[in-house]
Amino acid sequence: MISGTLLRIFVDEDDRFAGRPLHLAIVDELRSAGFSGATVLKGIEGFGPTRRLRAARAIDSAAGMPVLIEVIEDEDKIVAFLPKLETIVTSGLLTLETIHAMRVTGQAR
Amino acid sequence: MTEFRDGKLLRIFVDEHDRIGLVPAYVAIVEFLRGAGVAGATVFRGIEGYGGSGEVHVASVFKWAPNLPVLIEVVDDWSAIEPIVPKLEAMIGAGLLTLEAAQYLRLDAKR
Repeated sequence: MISGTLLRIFVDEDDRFAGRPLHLAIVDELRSAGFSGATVLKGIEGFGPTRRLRAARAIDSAAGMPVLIEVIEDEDKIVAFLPKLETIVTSGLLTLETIHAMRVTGQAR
Repeated sequence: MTEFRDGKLLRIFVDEHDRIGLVPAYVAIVEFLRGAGVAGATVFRGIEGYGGSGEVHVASVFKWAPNLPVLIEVVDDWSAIEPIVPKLEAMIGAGLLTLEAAQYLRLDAKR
C-alpha cells in the first residue's frame, strides 16, 4: 500500500484557455507533465460563490455545466504541478486529498 | 501549497427519483445549499448504482426514465458545513452523506 494525493479540479465546461476548452488544456498539461492518468467527469448542475445556478434542467442557464478533472499521483509530483496549473485555471476550485491506498496497474499511457 | 485551506468535502448521494415535497430531492438540496451560504455545490448524475433498497439502477436505452444515482458535492470550511449537516439529515429521507478532509483553493470569485 502506498499513499498518494488526489487532486480535483472543478471548472466550467465553457471556460477556455488559449482558444480551446479549459478542461482539454488541463488534460494535455497533465499528459505533458507525465501524469499517469486523469479522469474527467461532467456535472449536471452547480453553483459557485456568485450563487448563480447553472443547471441542465433550466433552459435559460444550461450553459457552463461543471466539469471535474481528477488526478491521483504522488504528493510531490502534484505539488510541483500546482504553480503551472494555477496559471491555466484562473477561475475554479482545486482540492487536495490524501489517498491511503493506491495501486497503479497496466502500462503507462 | 500554502494558499490551500483546510476544509471538508461533503458528499450527498440520493436517487434521481427521490422527492422532497413536490420537487426532486437533489433540486431541493441544491436550493437549500444556495440559501445556506456554502461556497458552492456540484451535482453529478451516475450511470449505475445500488444502495438502500438493494435494487440496481442502470441507464439503458430500454428505460425511459431510470432512477439513477445523483451525487451532490460541497467543499467549504468545516464551520460552514457543520451547521448544515443536521438540516440535511432532517431533509433527506433516504440517501448517504459522507464527510472527508480536503484542502482547497478557490481561484477567484467570478463563479
